[in-house]
Amino acid sequence: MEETSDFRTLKILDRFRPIIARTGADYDVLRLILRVKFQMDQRRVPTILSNNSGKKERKEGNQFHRSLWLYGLMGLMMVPFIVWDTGHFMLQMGLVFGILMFMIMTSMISDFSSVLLDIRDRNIIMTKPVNGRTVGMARAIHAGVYLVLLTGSLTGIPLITALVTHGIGFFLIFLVELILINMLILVTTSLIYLLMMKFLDGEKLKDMINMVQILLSVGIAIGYQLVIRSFSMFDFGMVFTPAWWQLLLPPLWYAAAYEWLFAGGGNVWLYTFTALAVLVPVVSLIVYVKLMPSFEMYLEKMAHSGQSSGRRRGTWDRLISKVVSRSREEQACFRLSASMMRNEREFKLKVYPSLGLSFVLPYIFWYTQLQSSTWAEFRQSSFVYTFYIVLILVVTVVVMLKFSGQYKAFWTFRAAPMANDSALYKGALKAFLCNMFLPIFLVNAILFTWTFGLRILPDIAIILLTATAIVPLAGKLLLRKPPFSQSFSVAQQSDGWYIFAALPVLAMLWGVHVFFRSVSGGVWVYGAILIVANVLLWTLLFRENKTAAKRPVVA
Amino acid sequence: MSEQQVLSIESLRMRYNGRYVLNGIDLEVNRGEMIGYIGPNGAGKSTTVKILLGLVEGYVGTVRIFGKDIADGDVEYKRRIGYVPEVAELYEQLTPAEYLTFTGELYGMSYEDADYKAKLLMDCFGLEKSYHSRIASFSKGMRQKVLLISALLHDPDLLFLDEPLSGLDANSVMVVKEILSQLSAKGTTIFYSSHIMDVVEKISSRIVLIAEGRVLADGTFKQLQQQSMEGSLTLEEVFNQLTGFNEHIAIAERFVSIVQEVY
Repeated sequence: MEETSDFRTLKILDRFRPIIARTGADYDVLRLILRVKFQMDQRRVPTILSNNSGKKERKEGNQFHRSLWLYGLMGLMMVPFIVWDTGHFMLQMGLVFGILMFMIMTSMISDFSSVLLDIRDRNIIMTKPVNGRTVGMARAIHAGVYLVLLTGSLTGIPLITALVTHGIGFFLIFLVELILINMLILVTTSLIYLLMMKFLDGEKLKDMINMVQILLSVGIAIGYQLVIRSFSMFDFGMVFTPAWWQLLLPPLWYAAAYEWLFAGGGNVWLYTFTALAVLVPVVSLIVYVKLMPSFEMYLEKMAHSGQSSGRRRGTWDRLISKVVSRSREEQACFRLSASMMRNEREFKLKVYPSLGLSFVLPYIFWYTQLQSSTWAEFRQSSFVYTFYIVLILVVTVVVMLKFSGQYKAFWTFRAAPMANDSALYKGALKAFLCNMFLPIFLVNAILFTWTFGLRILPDIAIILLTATAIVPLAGKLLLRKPPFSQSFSVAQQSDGWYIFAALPVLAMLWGVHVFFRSVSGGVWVYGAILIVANVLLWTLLFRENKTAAKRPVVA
Repeated sequence: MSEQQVLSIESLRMRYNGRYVLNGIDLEVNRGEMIGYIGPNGAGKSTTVKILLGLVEGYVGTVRIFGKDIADGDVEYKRRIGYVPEVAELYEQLTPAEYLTFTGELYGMSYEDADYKAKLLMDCFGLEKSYHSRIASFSKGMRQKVLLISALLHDPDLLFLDEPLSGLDANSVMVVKEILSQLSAKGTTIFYSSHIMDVVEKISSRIVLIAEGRVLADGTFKQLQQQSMEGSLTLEEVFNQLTGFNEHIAIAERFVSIVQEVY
């Protein structure tokens, strides 16, 4: 047992012992805590599978380590920006750091926030003779190690490229800046959490953190799309003109050093940017280390629930559920699913960002198009079909419906006298359709109609009917497990292939749509076909035969 | 302060969201005492224990443990404390072997000592076969036993137990109660917080009843019986009487009638 429990990371960490000890942390205890944490991370696998230890222990391994090669591939994306010697380092390196910071920050927020905000540590570790700074330090290093691994995989190839094409100086600056960037991201995230914990507590705090996480993920995802798309600007050989607001863009701080050293000297702006690149992470790190013990104290607030307002909710859900479903069981499942989608934080964190992204994706396509055509031309174009992209969210969300942070509560359905799960499937799918999909659809529909004119109303109707038909289909084909019955820890990244599988299907539907549109009166025919399809799919796919045949047993 | 005094709390007050959850608690505990710490939900029991363990800051008043003020930022005093929290929070991905050696080491034991003792203690609870299995696969009772072992492994002088018997079967309950009384006889001070009055009545040498953040009664079971005047027989009755609660029959009747829809 002992030889497996000493990790290479810890051996490397041992070299930094004096520095860590100087912050006031007890290094031996810190090492102990980290060892246990790494050990646990190796076991994120569903525990039911590996109950008794022994031979099976070998199979376990850090899930995160396994996904690192994927990040390595993503890193390839940055290579052209580095190789391409445009002489405009501010732009090309700004893009590299932009992409990099987006990716690291997203990962930090969605994957490693739980490391920073683990309240179990309070009861288990803080009740022992361990000081707050040691625990805080262990927490920060734990998250930091993952960030470094992530950054390492992302930038491995770009770093080598930089060494080969631009020489050792370029490479070294890249390396140092990467360290600074990691520091900056880790520390600012922690400080944001600290600030929120100071002013809020209990449920409100968790909601707030959840919301910030979602907003950041959405913002980052959108920003990422924009950065990728602004690639085209390169051709124009844009000249960097400093402006005060650029002081707020960290990627530019880090690009400035290159502009200064490799593209013809510096000026006050570049000196300021570079100074910020170094000073901001260092100063915030010092502040953070100072505040660490209070971070530990504030974590207590997460466990403590404040008084909540007793506002009665759900009138809307009750109304809608009665409209869309007849059976009482299904109405109950509808309402439960609706409130789960609205309130379950883990679900929101995993699903809402993709909602936001599918919402804006069409407009990103518009943006690219509008660079080359005028608004008047654009309004007459057939860009209305970009609406089909919004339907991606049907697939992304329906796949996620089977997960829940509170998956263990699924016993409620097994204890209830329900003949089969179709009421649950239908309730959940309808709740998604009415409460999540329709609002987004409507807003988009209004924006589209405003842009392209009333002529597209039949198309919007067709797309809506297509969407409502896809929902039960996706539920039958992709969901497979009852809604809210699985732990998120089972969620694999392999679920991503669904989206790639969905794209050709959507393209096909678009093609069919265009075909019927070209025939006179075709819209009406297609609409009628879709209505029939809707009725058939919703009724036939989830039949409620009262004789319970086989109910899948949920582990 | 005498050598005998393990814990002393002076006018302890604590405020959450503008409301006082602790409203001036005074308490002195001597070595070897077995304190039953009881009170209605939300009376401030957990908050007191959390303050004593240094999990909560921002209180007013003085808390001394083993003669030292705990507000000085030195966490050494925790080395002699054992704690069983109300919620069985453990690192579930670990095995008891890993978890117990980890907590043992945090208390300053060597890995070998912790491992050796933990294995023997698991044995006593009949869990020797599960020593290398994941805690995640354990039943509630098994988890509770692991928690108890982790609180006792380093032979603490002061024990804070919050519902330590929850999830244990009748036989294990007897074992644990006996362990506690033997420890107490040998000088371990035990702070026992529970809602199960029969147990508290039987094992405590002294009972402290708090309500609305104040000490409502403090003494042996006999003294509490006398204080409640009406000749209450059990601690449950004393508790009801002192907290001014006497409508349990009315509430139950109403509840049943609602269940059976006879409004």
